[in-house]
This record gives sequence, structure tokens and C-alpha cells, in this order.
Amino acid sequence: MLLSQSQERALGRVERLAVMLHLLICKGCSNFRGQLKFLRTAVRRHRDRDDAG
Amino acid sequence: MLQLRNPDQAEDVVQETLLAAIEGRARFAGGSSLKTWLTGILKHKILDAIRRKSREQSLSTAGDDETGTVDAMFKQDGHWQEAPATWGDPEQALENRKFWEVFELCSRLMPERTARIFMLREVMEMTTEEICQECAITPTNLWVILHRARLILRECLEIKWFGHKKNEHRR
Repeated sequence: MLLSQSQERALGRVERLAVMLHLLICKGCSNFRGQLKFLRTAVRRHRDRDDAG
Repeated sequence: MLQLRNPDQAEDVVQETLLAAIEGRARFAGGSSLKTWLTGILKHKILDAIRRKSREQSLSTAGDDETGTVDAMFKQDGHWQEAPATWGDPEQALENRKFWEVFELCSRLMPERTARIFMLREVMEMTTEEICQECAITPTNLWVILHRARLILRECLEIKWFGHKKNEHRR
């Protein structure tokens, strides 16, 4: 949830630290973080494809 | 089409846009490109259509039917039922025609209200404040909805595309 929120707002210092620590022990969450970035890229690419067509 | 999820409505919006363009052609100074100008009108018309739809829907059903889908992804203690897998180099998929078919299929899985809000954020790139005002929801509300939208899209892509790719590599 915090990872998702980091796409909407800047996390506070404590939140950032908590996320970093959690990512160290949660491989799935690191994958999730990368995938969130990818989703954003994909949605925008899709939109721009539509525009071009 | 992806934004409204209804071909008839998409056609109506395009028609409204063209009508507005014809009526307002005097205002088109030629300072911006024709495409930018038309896209600008189109965006307004899409927003209008979404507003109309929101009003109609809030009268009929206010249901959030994605809660169950998302809850099933997590154990009771909040940990992933099945943790997100490594997708390797997902950017490659962007060059693949088939990927976009899967992507569109997956985008349609979200419940309407969720999809609409996800679209305002990711396609129209509206800010938290703008969307909250538009949809009359709180920021926390909005973040939960967006988070669920991403979880649904992510899981679908993993199952339908990235999982499938992995199996192909193994063979």
C-alpha cells in the first residue's frame, strides 16, 4: 500500500525507512515495486499508441 | 474506448468533440497544432461523459465488487498469498503486439468505478486533489482504490503474460 502511495505523494522519512527495511526482507515486494513502475509506463505507452492511431 | 469502456459512448464522445470543434472553429487560432486542439476538446468531452456516468452509477449501485478479488490475494496476516514473481525485463513486452491484447483484456477486469478512477490518474494524469474533487472522495479513499486497481492489473498480467512467458522459457 505504501509502495503504491509513493506514486501519488512523497512519503515521509519514517515511511521511507519502513519501506526500505521491508523491501530488504520481502522479495515479492521488491518485484511489486518494479511492476508498479512498469504499469505506469505501460498505461502511458498504451495511451500514446491510441493517440497515434 | 479504453477510457469509457463502452463503444457506443466512445462514439458519442467523438461526435460531440467534432461538433464542438465545428462550432468553435473560430476560436482555433492556429497557434497550437490541430491535433493538440482537438485532443484538448476530446479530453473535456471524456470528462463530461465520466461525470454523467458517475452520477448515473451512484444512483444505481455504489458497490465495490473488487474487494473480494483483492482480499483473495492476501493471507489473513496481510502477507501475499502468492508473492509477485520476477518479471525479468518487462519493457520488452511493450514492443510485442500480443502483449497489448493481454493488457487491454486485463484493464477490463477492474470494476467500473475503479477503472474510471485509475484512468483519471494514469491516463489523464490528474493529481490527487483534482480526482478527489471530481469524484468527491478523500485522498485515503483514492489511494486505496488506485492500489486495488494496480493489484488487479498486476495479477492479471502476471498470470496471463509474464507467467506464460516464464513457462515458455523453461520448455
